[in-house]
Amino acid sequence: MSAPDAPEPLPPEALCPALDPSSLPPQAAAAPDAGTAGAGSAAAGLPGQERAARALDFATRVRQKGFNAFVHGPEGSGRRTSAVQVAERAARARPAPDDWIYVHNFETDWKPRALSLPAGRAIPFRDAVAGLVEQLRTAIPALFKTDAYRERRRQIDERFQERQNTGFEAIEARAHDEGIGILRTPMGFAFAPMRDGEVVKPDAFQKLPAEERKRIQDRIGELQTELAALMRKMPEEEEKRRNEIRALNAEMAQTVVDAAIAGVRPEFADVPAAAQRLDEMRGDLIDNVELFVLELNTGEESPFPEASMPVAEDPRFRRYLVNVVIANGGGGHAPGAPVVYEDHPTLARLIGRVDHTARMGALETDFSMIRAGALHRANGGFLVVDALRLLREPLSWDALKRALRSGRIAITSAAEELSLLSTVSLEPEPIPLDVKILMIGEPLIYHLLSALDPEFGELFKVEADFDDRMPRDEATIAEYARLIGATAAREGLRPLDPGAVAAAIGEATRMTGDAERLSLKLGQLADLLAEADHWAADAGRERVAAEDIARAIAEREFRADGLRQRWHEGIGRGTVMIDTEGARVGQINGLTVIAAGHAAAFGAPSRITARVRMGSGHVIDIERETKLGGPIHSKGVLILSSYLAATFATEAPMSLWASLVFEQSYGGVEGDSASSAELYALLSALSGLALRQDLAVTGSVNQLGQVQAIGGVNEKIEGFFDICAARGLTGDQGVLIPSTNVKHLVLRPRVVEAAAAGRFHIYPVATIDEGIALLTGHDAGTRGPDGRFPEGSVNARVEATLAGFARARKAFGAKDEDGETGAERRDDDEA
Amino acid sequence: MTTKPDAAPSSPPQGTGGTDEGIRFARVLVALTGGEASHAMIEAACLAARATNAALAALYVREQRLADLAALPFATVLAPGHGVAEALTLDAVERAWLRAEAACRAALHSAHPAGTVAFQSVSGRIETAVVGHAGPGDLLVLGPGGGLQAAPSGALVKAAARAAGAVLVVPAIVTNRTGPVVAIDDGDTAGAGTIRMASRLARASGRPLALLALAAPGMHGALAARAASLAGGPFALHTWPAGEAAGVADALRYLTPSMVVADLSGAPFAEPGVLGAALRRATAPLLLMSGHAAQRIASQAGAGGGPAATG
Repeated sequence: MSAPDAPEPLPPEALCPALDPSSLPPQAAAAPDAGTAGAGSAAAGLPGQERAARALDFATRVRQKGFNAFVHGPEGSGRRTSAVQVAERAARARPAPDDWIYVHNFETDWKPRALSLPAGRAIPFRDAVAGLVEQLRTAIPALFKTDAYRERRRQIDERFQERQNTGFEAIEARAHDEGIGILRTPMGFAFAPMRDGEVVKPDAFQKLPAEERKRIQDRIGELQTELAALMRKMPEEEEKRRNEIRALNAEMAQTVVDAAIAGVRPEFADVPAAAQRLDEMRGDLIDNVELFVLELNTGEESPFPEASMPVAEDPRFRRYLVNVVIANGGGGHAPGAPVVYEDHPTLARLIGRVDHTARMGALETDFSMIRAGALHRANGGFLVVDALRLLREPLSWDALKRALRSGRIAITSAAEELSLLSTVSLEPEPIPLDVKILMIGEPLIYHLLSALDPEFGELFKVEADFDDRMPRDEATIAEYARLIGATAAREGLRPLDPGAVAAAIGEATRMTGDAERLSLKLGQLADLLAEADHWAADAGRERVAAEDIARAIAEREFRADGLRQRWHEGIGRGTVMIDTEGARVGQINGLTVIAAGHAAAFGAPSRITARVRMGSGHVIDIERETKLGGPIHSKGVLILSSYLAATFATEAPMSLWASLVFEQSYGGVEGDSASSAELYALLSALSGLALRQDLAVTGSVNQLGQVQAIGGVNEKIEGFFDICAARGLTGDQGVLIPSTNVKHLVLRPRVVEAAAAGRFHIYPVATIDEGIALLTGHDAGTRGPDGRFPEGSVNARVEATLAGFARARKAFGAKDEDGETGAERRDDDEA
Repeated sequence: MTTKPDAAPSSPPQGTGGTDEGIRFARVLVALTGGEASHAMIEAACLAARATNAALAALYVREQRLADLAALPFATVLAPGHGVAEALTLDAVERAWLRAEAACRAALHSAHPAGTVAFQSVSGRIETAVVGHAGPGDLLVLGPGGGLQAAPSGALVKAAARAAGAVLVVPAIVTNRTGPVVAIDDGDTAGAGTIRMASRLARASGRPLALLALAAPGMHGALAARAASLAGGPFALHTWPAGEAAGVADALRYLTPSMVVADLSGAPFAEPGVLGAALRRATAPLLLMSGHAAQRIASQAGAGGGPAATG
């Protein structure tokens, strides 16, 4: 029943690219060096990612500021692994960066100092300083128990006492000579006239001659003035005594401290920062030697209080200790610069934090509670971080930019950033920053940041664009085969035989939905190989075979098949009405792709119907009217409207009212891949010619009537095939696809086999005329020299119908002008 | 400051050759006037009570001489620290007494939380009050000058020691609170009592024990042996020429003691004026026992408590 200009079905070999396993290079099936290829290799060795590889190589080697890289590409493209490995390769070529320590600032308590030491020297320095303090903890108290110290201390105390007593006793002696005593009352010193060692009673005093009373009073006044002057000098004397004791302590401590430091200094003679720190410590130790003889009240009784408390926990000595925040080099570290991947880039984990400890209900902190962040750890090397995770963390993105801009890491807490804390906290000295950031993200994030954040371009000057696919040709297939082998080796899987490699390549092609491309979503490929390895193990095979790949694909589809099965059941049981035989006017099988959550996308037919009548040139998209249609779908409908008008209403107004709908569709429709089907339905309705229901249609249409490529062609074909197969293939069934989609065909074997057997057909369609001819069995017809379509052609019938509508409308309009009724026109307009 | 749990009444230590039950006073009676040494007096009294298993009693004396002084028309007082003269009235004295008494009660309660303290408040002169309230077998704790003067007079100390058994004189300023408890041992039987007393005090306070022995040439070994049998623990032995007993204060200065224990009948106090000078210059509490009391304590030491000067 096909029209002469209807297209021929595609041959089976056009439905899926074939690959002869014997054509693969012999080494492909074996596992090549996992370190040089595959997802585990650097991007430079990753086929199809040359652009990204060069970008990463450049970014990791250029040392100028701002040349950080944004590595974007689809998830599973190996972008993160590649970025880390390129960074590791570059890091190995760099020297290990300096260690960093924080120490107490003897001048400004709340501003701990940051010191850099050559790689591998921080921990020995920390231990040496702790040992030094431990040594002094024993030596200094012992020093203060020596007879020499006690004697000199006693002399100071005696001199002080002597100075006090001398003055006091002189006054007391003079007072005594004049019959006046000095009394120590609870309120202070008082002078009183004395007789026989007793205070003169008031009545006795009053009996004294007036001159005597006056003399005593005057003399008491004078003595009181003298004593007051002496008492006012006492604080000065006390201060003098304290200074003398302090000087004595310092003098005594100096020898011990110098000896202890001399024991440490030679080891760090080549480290100026360490030597300077030891000098500073010496000064402070001597100035504060009393710390070592204070008894610490811990609130807990311990039989061995000094021995049981490590020096690091003794608050008296913490000021001398060393907090190693970054230690590079040494046995536990990889050679070269660090490569850090921060999986959870909160503000604190990114730029470090200052911990606090609760003591007696208050929060306390000091330099020893400064903790390094990812930037500290990566300093001198590379930091790999996920863009989305970074952007989701409050304040992290701003903190990273600030650090990169300023070239230093300043530790601030979120509470400080948001001004939630008003108490004094630490302000650690910032550490100079020399790091290369490799930020991983989706292309959308890259483009949004480029557009919306003016600083982004300045700080991330390198774009590393990971593709999700690569061309499929003879050369790349060989490369890809090696990639498969490497992936299997890296994952510890069985080696693949050539048939399995070919099957895996076929699936990699299928993943792209393009017969001329290979997927670079290496995560998915690795998953496929792992599943195949499992089935090979089940089958007791030493090598993974093609059957194992096929089983893996089948099992995966089966696991994800629940939704598809329920959907197709609805069709099979007639709940969702889909005809796969016969012909209907104004009704056609469109094809849709349904993708829900993580379930694999699948295709399914959907009935599209069109109704027409006279009107004012409107094609009503019921999906759009009910807000179930997306903008692209609406665009498609407008395009086909334009096609109709331009093709058929060249000499008369378009007097059509038409409506289009996806029947039994309740979840919304988006995309224009059904616009050709909708047009066919309209043409059928206008021509009165029935459309074949054993065919389904996909493809978008442009204003010129050309059928354009759409996505998901394989799933759509398979969706209709499965419905037909379930009902029994008639040999006439098939699908119309855009001819430009032929290169995308990677159909499952069941479809290819049916096509090869002539039981199912795939028709490539380039124009609407070709498609309508196939669907109706009538030529579409092209306008002849007379400007008319051939008699009996589809287009002629359409034009005739539209002309009839135009005439009817004209007649209707004349009646309206006569004032008969305006109701229908209003109705038409409203519609 | 590390505090140690109160020493429980203990069994006789190894090597004492006797029992500590003999070291017992009827009471430790502290005489308070609210002066600057009050706190140190209370501390010393508590320590002595703990060391000797004695009951603690406090006598707060409203010193009559202070009232007499306030009644004088020109009475003023110089407050410690800033030396500003303020008028001294009877009202002010009354208020000061009340404050001081309350402070003393609080300090006693704080320093001796586990035990009950018999607290009595009296008016009069402190010398009269102390002697009047002291009973035989008491240990009296006195402040500097009995409360109003720089140091208590030797006569007061001797009178008090006669009335009771011993006097603990606490100076206004105690310079070393962790130094050794030093016993002055002149080699006689009472000297043995000072060693035992000092040993108890050292153990109760957790301080080291040091013995300052007045030894004739060649007697060092015998004194060391006797001390070892009496001390019941480690001690440092220092010797001083027996012929220079009056100069023992110089040796004490060198030892920087936290407390000194001596018997008033001993050689160092034989010369007149020595006791007064010692009281004026003291920078640590002085526990002065009457010869009788010291001998009583020594007699409990058994064989080890005899005179060392056998040669």
